[in-house]
Amino acid sequence: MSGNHLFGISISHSKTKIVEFVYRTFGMYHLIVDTFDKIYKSQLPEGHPGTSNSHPSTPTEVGPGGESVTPAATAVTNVQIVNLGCGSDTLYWRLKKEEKLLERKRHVHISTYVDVDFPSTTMKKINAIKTTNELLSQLSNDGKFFSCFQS
Amino acid sequence: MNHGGHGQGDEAVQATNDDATVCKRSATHLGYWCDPYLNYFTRGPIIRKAPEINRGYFAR
Repeated sequence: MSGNHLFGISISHSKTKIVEFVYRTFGMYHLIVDTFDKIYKSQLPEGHPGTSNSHPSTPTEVGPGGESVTPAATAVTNVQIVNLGCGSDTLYWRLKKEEKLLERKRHVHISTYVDVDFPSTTMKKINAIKTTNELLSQLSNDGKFFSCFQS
Repeated sequence: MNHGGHGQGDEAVQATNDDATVCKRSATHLGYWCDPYLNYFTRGPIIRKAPEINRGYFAR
């Protein structure tokens, strides 16, 4: 079965069904753009243009002697992940666990992570997260549960 | 491909998630890879799947 393309992302047939559902309900483009706008801009400091979806920052690290070291050419890139048809995928927590390693080795910082799926699936997932401290504690303080798919 | 709202196809797709979670649980239990968070999303006993399935999920 050949994959379909959405915004240049190769997705499998069953994922296409999720996208169709979301598209029927809201329109995929607006959903993603609005969600990113809300989450991403709320994280930026005042006066930041916030228009590019990847802006390099220069992290300051403390060297072995306690001196401040600004690594050259190791700018951390902010990335946003949209997990279409996430199901019970645990990718968020697995990445969160490796957060420091990702920044140090791959120079990648995940600024936004969005799980998208059918309402029945996300509601089950939200319920599991809310009742499990190990999952809940890994969410950032401004992490939100979007129940916008509830009909 | 429009099923008009919540079609039968949608439900079938949603059922694949439960199956995938059960299969992933089987594979992680046998040590194919480590995912300590998977158990929080499913309940009940761990069902042992065929080696082909475990290896398939590992490869994926």
